[in-house]
Amino acid sequence: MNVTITRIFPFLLVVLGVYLWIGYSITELTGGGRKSSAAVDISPEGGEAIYWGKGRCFTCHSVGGQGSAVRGPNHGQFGEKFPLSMGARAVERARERAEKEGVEFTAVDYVVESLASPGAYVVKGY
Amino acid sequence: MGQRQSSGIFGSGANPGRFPRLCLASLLVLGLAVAASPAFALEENVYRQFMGIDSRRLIWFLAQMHLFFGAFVLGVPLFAVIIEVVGWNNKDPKFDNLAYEFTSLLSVAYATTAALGGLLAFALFTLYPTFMGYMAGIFKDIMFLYALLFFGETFALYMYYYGWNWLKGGGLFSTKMQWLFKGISLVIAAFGLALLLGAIGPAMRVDTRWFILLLYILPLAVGFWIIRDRKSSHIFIGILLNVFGTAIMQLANSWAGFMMSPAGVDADGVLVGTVWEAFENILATPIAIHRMLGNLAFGGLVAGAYAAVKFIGAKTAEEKAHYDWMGYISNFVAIAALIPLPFAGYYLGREVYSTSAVMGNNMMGGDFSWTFIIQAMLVGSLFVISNYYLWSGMTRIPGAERYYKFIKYILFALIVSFAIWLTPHNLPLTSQEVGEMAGSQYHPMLKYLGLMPAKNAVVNLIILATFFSFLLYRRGNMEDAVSIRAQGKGARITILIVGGVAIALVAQYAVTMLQMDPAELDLPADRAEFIRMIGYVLVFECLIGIVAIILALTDRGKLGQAIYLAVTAFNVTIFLGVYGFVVMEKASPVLRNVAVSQFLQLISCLVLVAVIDAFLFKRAKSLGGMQWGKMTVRSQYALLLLTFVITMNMGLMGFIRSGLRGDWHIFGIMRDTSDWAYTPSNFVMTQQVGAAVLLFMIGCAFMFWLGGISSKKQED
Amino acid sequence: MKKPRVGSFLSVVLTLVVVYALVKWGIPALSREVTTLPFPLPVPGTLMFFYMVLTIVALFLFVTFSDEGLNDFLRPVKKFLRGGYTKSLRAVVLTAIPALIGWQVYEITVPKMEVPSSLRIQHPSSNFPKSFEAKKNPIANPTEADVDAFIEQAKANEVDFIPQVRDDVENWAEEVDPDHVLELFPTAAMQKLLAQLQSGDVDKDTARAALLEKNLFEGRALYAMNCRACHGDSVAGDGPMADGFKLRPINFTDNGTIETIVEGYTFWRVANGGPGLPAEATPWDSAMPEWKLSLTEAQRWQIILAEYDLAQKTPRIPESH
Repeated sequence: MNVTITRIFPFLLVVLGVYLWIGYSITELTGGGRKSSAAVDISPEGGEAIYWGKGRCFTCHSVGGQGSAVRGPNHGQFGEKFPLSMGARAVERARERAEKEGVEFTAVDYVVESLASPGAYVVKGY
Repeated sequence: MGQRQSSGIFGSGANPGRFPRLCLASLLVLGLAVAASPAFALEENVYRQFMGIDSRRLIWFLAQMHLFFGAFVLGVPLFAVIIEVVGWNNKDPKFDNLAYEFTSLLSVAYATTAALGGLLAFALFTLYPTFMGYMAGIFKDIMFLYALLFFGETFALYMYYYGWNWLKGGGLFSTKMQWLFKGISLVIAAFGLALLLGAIGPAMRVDTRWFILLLYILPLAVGFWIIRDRKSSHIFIGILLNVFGTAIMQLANSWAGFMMSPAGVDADGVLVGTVWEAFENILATPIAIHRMLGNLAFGGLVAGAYAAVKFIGAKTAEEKAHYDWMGYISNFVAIAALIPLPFAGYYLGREVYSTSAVMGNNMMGGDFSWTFIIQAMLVGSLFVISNYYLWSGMTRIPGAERYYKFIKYILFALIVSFAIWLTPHNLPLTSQEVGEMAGSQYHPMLKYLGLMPAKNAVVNLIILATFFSFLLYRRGNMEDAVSIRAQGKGARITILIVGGVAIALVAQYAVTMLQMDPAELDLPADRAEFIRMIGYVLVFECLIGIVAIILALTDRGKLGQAIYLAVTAFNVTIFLGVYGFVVMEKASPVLRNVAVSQFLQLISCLVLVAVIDAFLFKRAKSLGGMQWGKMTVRSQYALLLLTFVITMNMGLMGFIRSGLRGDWHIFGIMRDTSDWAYTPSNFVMTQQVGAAVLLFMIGCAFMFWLGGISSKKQED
Repeated sequence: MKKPRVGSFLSVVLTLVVVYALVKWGIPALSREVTTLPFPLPVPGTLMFFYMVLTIVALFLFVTFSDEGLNDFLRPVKKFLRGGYTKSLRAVVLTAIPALIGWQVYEITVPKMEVPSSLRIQHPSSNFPKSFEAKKNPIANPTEADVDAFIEQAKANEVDFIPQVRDDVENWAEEVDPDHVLELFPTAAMQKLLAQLQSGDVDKDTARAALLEKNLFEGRALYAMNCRACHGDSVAGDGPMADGFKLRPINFTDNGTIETIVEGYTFWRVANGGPGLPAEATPWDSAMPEWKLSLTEAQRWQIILAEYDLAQKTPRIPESH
């Protein structure tokens, strides 16, 4: 039975490796896997699951190189148009907003407002 | 069946303890089934987790392992009994030993299957209590029967294995005894006839009726009929073993079928019909048919892998010759089961479509469209590698060089067909490519290769090409065809009857097509010509079939075969392939009839050409015997690869079948509200299936090793 | 065995080159010839990869199925390695191969601008509600009550049109001043109904056919108002706006589109548009509006009736067992 281990087992591993590679590349090709979205914790991962799942945020937004929708602004750093990350962008917007309206605004306030009532403050170009 | 009786046999056997464990496992399953509170489909679903593991993936993995071992345990006896019958018929002890060698692998596999089944059942009942409670409520009678059948299967298996040498030799039974068995056989046959005519039994779908008839009643009747001495009683036990195995599979299948196409319950999941209705749901039998053939192919290939491993490790020429031969026989059985498998799959797919167009669309055009591309890669490789194995085998046949020149044409046909099969309708594209193709998602020409008519045509061609390879292999060392006329009445009558049946199969569909009212397909009357055309093609096919028979009977059999093969290839692949597109354009519902007609022509061709071939080379002059063992080692790796591929494919198709339900436990009735109610990606699928295949193969290696040490001991 | 004229090795290399040329230039050229489209129509990269891998597999199988074949193939390679074709050639090739591999590795790893390739699922349906599956177009199969109501309207010459076409019908009526408003349709079915109206004996089948014509008229009008801009007059996905979309509007005359799906699915797609699609529909999301917001259910069905009629297609029939 030595032969099984030395010759056939590696052969099996190669075959399974090819199988995994096919599964991997096809999944990559077809837009990545889905994540569970029925019930998630309040955590970055949970948010991400909702973003790419039930929340359907990805139909309009992308995050950096992830996703391909361009209807809404990209939520990550991407190209010349989106030099800032989401957090830094929110800080800047909150400041702009506070200046304009004279009300105290934090970055969190801004993000929450954008989610709850997207039309409240629309950035130029959208 | 008394336990006392069985303990008498098993208590003294070599495996004390295994049987009680099995009984315990089945009883536990029963207990769980009974104890589970009757749940209703609309109650909120309770989910639990075990050690924080994703329950769905856990169940998936366990079910897959159980199914691999189960397929082994069902497939190998099928294979073993076929081999035993061949040996009994030929009076060749070589076959008998081969069958015994495989049976010896079974007992470990059987215990493992049962253990895994128990584990799966526990996992299901503990992790998905609401769902399983509901299922147990609907299927409690069936679950009881299932557990009871295990006693039968266990009994038959051990009787078959331990009784092998005991039931050898000896004289004929007394005439009275033989007549008794023949009488029982006739009673069973009469029962079968009554069932066929619908005189007894509940209302049934046609496919279920034939399934029961062909896989239970017919084998039992034949089994009783042949009993005349000890050996034939042993074969009868083998048949009984397979009947039990098939029944167990069919029962468990009905649960999976019910989850996809629930029947006998209302929209709230309350049982309004009978248990029989729930049991015989629409998809239950199509899945069972597909599984049955798959199991046979799988059994054959696992046996083939065993032979290949032994061949690679063989030290002497004799050993090599033996395992080379074993590999060939295994592969032959596997190919025989593989050939009708795509049609069983097509039938299953069609029934899935009819159950729900959502499931159907999801299967071919939705979430699973790319899983089907992987599936096409795997099935295509199965056929290509089988051919490769046959060609490699031709190198050990003296005289087969004469046929080498055909190989490149067969290969060409296979690869072109494979390429067309793999061409998806919608392709992954870069946006540059989209631009270069006029902004369309589809390539304006290649998109046609992605549509059903093209796929149907090439799958048929792949099967024909494989059959052709097999014909070449068969006549490798035959000098020339012999005269069929000289073989007397028997040969002529057999050809006429078998050929007649094959042609009748096509003819009856031709008549259907010539008479079909387009309104049946919701088509306007002016589309009738599209249906008639199929009829004309089939009539032509029948005529050529008759010509082929006449030619065969007048000693021009080779010409007859060639004409019939060529015409079938033309009709099925080229004419109906192209015609499929015309039909798709003008009368798309007729496409189904085109597919059925292709299938019937192909089957008729295989049957008729094979029967002519059988007599054409019966006792033909040989150019030299097979040089068993003079085979390249590469071919043995090909055999191994076949086994790996079919195993991976089984896992993949299980994923599709189960995943089609989307986020339903029971399609349309009970929603999956757990965290895992989404369709996993193909990568997740390959991980799950890959891990299961790896573990199964390790298990197989272990079983082969166990079989090896036990036989070594016997030799000592 | 006879010595083959072209060595096995050479024929393998030649086959590879020929197949590559066929796929790379042959198929696009043929496609341009057949479709007369003024585009390059290349074979997409993924397919190119499939085809070449298959060719290599086929050649591998062909060469290795027998030991003689494999030896034939390897003979020139061995001879070459032993320096049989002059040592300098060997030196050149053996340096070239690592260099080539190195270049390929560099090509793959060097960061560069690349268009990502992506795949769109053709009929995304994972969130398609099961209840829609068996839906039948109520406009194509009007109930007895609908037909009766229509007969009543026709008798009273007060046929009710949808608001979107009412003005047009009135304008036409002012201009022509017909005896009956249904004279708007100069078709056989309608003439028959009008004749029957005059004689006072209307049979249901005639009325049904006439009602269908009226619905088709309204459906076409709605199509022209709402759908034509993208899907085009010829329903071939070539409306004036079509070129503006990354994902071209679907061509209904193509066999792979509305003909392969059940009516309920078409209805669901029209109702929910791009925003209603599931995740697998990305990327290049459909830009189709959510028509349920601006059209009534009956109007959506009328459009679907008209679409199938204009494209000369029939919807997929839910199969029976």
